[in-house]
Amino acid sequence: MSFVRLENVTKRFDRFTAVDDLSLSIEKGEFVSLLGPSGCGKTTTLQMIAGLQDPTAGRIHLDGEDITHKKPNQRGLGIVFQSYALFPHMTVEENVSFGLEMRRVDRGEREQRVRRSLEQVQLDSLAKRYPKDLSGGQRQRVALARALVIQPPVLLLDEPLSNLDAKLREDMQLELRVLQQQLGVTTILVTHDQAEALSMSDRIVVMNEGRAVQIDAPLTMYERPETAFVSNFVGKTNLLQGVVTAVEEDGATVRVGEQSLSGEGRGLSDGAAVTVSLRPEKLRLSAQAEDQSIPGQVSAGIFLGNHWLYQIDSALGTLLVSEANRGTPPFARGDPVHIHWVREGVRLMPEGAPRG
Amino acid sequence: MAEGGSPGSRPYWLSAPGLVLFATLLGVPLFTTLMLSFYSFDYATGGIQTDFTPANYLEIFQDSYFHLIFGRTFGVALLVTLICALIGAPEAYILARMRNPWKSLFLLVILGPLLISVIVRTLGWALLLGSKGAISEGLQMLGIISDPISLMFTTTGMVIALVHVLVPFMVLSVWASLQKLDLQTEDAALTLGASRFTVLRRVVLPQIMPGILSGSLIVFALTASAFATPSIIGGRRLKVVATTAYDEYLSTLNWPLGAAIAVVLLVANVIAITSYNRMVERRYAKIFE
Ligand SMILES: Nc1ncnc2c1ncn2[C@@H]1O[C@H](COP(=O)(O)OP(=O)(O)OP(=O)(O)O)[C@@H](O)[C@H]1O
Ligand SMILES: [Mg+2]
Repeated sequence: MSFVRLENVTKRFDRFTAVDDLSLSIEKGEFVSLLGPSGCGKTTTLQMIAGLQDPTAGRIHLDGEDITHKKPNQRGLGIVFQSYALFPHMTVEENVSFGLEMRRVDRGEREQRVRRSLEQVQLDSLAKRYPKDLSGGQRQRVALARALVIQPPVLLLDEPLSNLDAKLREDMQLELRVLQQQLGVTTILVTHDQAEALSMSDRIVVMNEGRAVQIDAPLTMYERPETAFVSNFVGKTNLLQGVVTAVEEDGATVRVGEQSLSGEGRGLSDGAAVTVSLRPEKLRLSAQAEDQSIPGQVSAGIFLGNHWLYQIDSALGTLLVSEANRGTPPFARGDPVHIHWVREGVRLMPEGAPRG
Repeated sequence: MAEGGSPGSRPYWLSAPGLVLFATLLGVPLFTTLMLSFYSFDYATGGIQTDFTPANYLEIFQDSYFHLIFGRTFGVALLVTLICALIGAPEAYILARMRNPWKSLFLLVILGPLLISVIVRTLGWALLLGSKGAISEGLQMLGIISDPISLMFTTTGMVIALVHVLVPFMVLSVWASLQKLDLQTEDAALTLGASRFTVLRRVVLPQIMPGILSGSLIVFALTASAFATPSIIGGRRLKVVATTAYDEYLSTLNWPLGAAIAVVLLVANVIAITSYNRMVERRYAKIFE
């Protein structure tokens, strides 16, 4: 029995459908991310779970109880808003204490729980400050402490890290994940950052135009995307258009321009148009030709610390290829190279595939 | 340097014409009023003696008649301020939550009266408040009162008319602070278990308090020095400071006493406003930028 369950949830604003027939089951203690481009209905979904928006159709269950039309102040969920929504007229301590006051927790216990939860997010020394005197990261932690102190059955996070700079964001991702696992709180994170979704979640729901396109664990999502949309949105990839020439068990051979290559995929039929996804790190460059390789020329290269990203002109078009950094730049602009791949690195997706 | 001293002094030179105009139009009359208030008036000849005496001030501070008038003025000002806050703050909040086109429409309805002269609006109230006015007739028709009543020349009537005139200032001021309010703080409070009422009381109200306080300041200052409305609704029977000063000037022709009354009103107003402002700033500087 799943802990949070959305059944065919739909939300329409006038004639515009923001969330379209979304179904999702989340286990207790699971960390699920809603990932998708701006405007795809992530926030709307989260707000329906929180009770801040009424679904047009469908049902929402929490721990076996139907909460579809329950008031937000009866649901007891913990929410971290994108703008943090801290109460500017209250100190850090008062902000965190608010939810407990609403629950009529008596003073002694309240103070103790506020202190403990501020310690959890390492803010105990700033308890008397007002939100305006805090940095972005500190505000984010106050918002988290305020949501966690009420010991909610479910924690809802709406792009909580999007206002932070890159370094702090990575630190907070790790901190948040560790804390979530310690507390074992069921968590739903909204994000449009695929790296964040990949690094933090047990499962990812990729959304597009109000629909759940694919629901899978991060590794599966990355390795076996079912549509071109997912493969392009989750991680970097090279997308090529091809035609199936021979269907094989668990895959097919396809022709892309003049080049024939074989890869893995489902739902393919002879003569059908396919999208071929080649991840930059699944490709390899060398100076000599081998079998299963095509020649090309380096047209640009950038250094990214732990790896290089090259842009190669080849018979397959312009491809991105990444090479691990081993201390010396392996190729320079204009160098002739050969691009290699293995069959497992080639992902085939039927064109215009239905979702899911 | 050729062009008017160092570059740092240029702004002063550039604003000099404005300053001169300002000084002439405000400073000079203010100064002559101040001087005038120390002169004395000879009732026998009706002439103004240019002696220099604090007699007028002593009279104001000792005569219980003036105590009554000043007491009434500031009492009315406080009451009007309070009522404006009670009406204006919810009004602004509801307005801010409306959707367009209703929002723009109602904003216009609220601010529209500011475009009409205070005198015209007050004369309108005089029609409504009289013993044959709509209020009296209406109450009689509903059977709430049996004999006609008139709210003309009463404090109640004056307060009603002043509130009507001044409530837009409160709405504007609260409106401005509502623009800064993060709507999500209300959602946050709600999801933390607060009832709608608690959200208003503990989250919305404290955040719009600066707006209410600065609105109060405007309303208080304008009420305390209001002239048109009190003179039409209150007339001679129910004088306030401004109408008293006016009468000293124009009926009694005791200009020095009138000037002294005006000066006391000004000083009292300035003291009330600055001390209030200081108190508010001390309280909110910590919280809001
Ligand atoms: N109150 C509303 N009335 C009309 N349309 C709305 C309303 N709220 C949201 N929408 C529309 O619904 C769609 C989904 O909005 P939502 O806020 O859920 O997007 P999102 O996925 O969270 O995007 P972002 O990443 O930009 O936050 C958007 O196209 C938005 O314009
Ligand atoms: Mg959003």
